Amino acid sequence: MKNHFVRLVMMGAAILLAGCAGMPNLPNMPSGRGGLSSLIPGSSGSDTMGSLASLAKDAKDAFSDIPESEEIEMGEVVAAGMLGAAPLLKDERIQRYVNRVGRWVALHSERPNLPWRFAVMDTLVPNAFAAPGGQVFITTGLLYRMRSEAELAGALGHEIAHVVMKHHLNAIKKAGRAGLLTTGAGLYADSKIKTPSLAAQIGKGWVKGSLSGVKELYVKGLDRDDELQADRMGMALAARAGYDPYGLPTVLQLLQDISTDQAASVSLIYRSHPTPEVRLAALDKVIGKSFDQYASQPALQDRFVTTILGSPPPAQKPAAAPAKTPAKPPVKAPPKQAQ
Amino acid sequence: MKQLRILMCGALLLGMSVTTAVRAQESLTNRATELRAAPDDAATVVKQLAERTPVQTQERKGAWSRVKVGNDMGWVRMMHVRGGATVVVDEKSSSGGFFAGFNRLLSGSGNRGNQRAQSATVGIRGISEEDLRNAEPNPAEFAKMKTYTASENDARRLASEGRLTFRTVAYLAQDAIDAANAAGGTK
Repeated sequence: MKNHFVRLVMMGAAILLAGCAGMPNLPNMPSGRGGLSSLIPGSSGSDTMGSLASLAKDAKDAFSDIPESEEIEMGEVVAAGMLGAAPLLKDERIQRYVNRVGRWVALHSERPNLPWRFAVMDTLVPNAFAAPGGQVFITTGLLYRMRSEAELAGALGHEIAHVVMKHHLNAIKKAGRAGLLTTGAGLYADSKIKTPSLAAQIGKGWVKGSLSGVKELYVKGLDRDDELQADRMGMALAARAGYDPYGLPTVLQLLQDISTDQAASVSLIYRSHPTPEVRLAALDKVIGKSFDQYASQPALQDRFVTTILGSPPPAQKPAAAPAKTPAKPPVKAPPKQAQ
Repeated sequence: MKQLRILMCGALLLGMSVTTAVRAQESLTNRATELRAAPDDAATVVKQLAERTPVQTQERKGAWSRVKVGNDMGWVRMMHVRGGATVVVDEKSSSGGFFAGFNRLLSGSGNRGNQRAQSATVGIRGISEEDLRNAEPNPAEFAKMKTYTASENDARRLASEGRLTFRTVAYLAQDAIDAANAAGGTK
C-alpha cells in the first residue's frame, strides 16, 4: 500500500518534471513512452483494466468542472510529492525572497488571490515548474545561473501564467475526457495513505483521473502553444510588476547556453518542450519592439546577487570611484579547484 | 533628490558593466544585424554583422546586449543573439568577485562547503528515475514550504524597496481573452 502511494507521488512528481519552462533540448535524453513506462512500474499492466471502467466514468464526470478549492488541493498533493523527490534549499532567506518576488508578480495576474507559494528546490538540474492552484518551483540549478531579479521575475511569471491559465489542470481534464483513466483508478481503489493530512484528498474524484492525466502529461509535456503563451504572458507580467521584461528572454538564452554544456546533458528529466530557439523566435515575432518602452525598468541585479550570495558584493560600484577603489578580492578566496 | 537617484542608478549601471566584463560566453548572431555604439536603434552603426557572427556578451541591459566582436565593442539587440546570457566569471580577474560566488555554488566548490559539493554531484545527475522510485511524499517539507509564504504586504514592501512600480501592460488580445476566461472560473 505504501508502494501505491509512492507510485502516486512519483507521478505527482512527474507532472512537475514534465511541467515546464525548464529544460533545453538536450541530446541523449531518454524520452517517449518507453521511458515513461519504465518510471511507473505496473502502470501499463492490462490485468486491472476491466475493473476500472466504472471508476473511470466517475472520474470523468468529476472533471467537468473542478472548483478552485479542489484545484488548490490537487496542487498541494503534487507539491508534497515533488518535495519527496528533491528537498527544499535549506536557506530561509532565499526562500522568503523568492516568495516575495513571486507574490509581487502574481499580484498583477488575473488570479492575485490564490494561495501563491514558491519554493527553491535543491537540485542543480535547471528547471522551473508549476502545479495547479499556485504552487511554483524553481531549482537551484536555474536560480544560481541567473543574474538579476528581473530574470527571476520573468521565469516565475512564466509559471504564474501556467497557473492563471490552468494549463496543467486543463491537460489533466483533457486526458480524463479522453478516457485515459487507468492506473489512477487502480491506485484509488486500495490506497491507504500513511500521511493523514493528504489522505483525505486522495478520495476525491480528480485524483483518480489526475494520475493518469499526469501520466499523459509526463509523456507529452504541455502543449507547445501553452508554453509559448506562458512566455508571452510571463514577459507581460514581469513588465506589469515594474521589472525589465527582458529577464525572461535572458533566461531562455541561459537555457541555450546550458544546452551546449556537456555536464547538463546527462539530466534525466528532459522531456519534449519547445526548444529555447523556438520559444525565443516565437516571442520575438509577436513582441517586436513593443516591450522596448519597459526595457529601462529595473532589473535589480545588485539586490538579486546580494540576496542569493548572502553578502554584499565586494568592491561594489567600482565605476563610481574607479581610481580610489582597487577591487578587492572576491567574497572569500575559495580553494582553487579544478572546474 | 531625484537627480541623486538618477546619479546612483547611473553609477550602478556603470558598476555592472565593469564587474561583468569578464570571460564572456561565446555566442552567435542569429540573423544579420547591426553593432551599435549605444543601446538604441538610432545610435551610430559601428559595424554590420552577418548572421552567425561570433560575439561575446559582456553585459545585458534591457533589450540590448553589450558585445565584443573581434576588436570592436558595441550594442546589439539581445534577441538577435543566440545564448550568451551566461556570465562566465574568471575568478582571477579582480572584478570577478561580484559574480564569482555563483560559479562556486554551481561548481560545488567554494565557501558554502561540502554540503554544496555533495548536492552538486546529485544535481548533475538530476532527479533521476531512481530518485523518483525511492521518493516518499514529504508532507513535512511541504509544511515548511508553506511557512515561507509571502503576504501581499511582504511583496509590496519588497517592490517599494526596489522602486518597482506597477505598469499597465496588456497581454496580446487572445491571451487577454483566455486569461479573463480562466480567471472567471467557468469552463
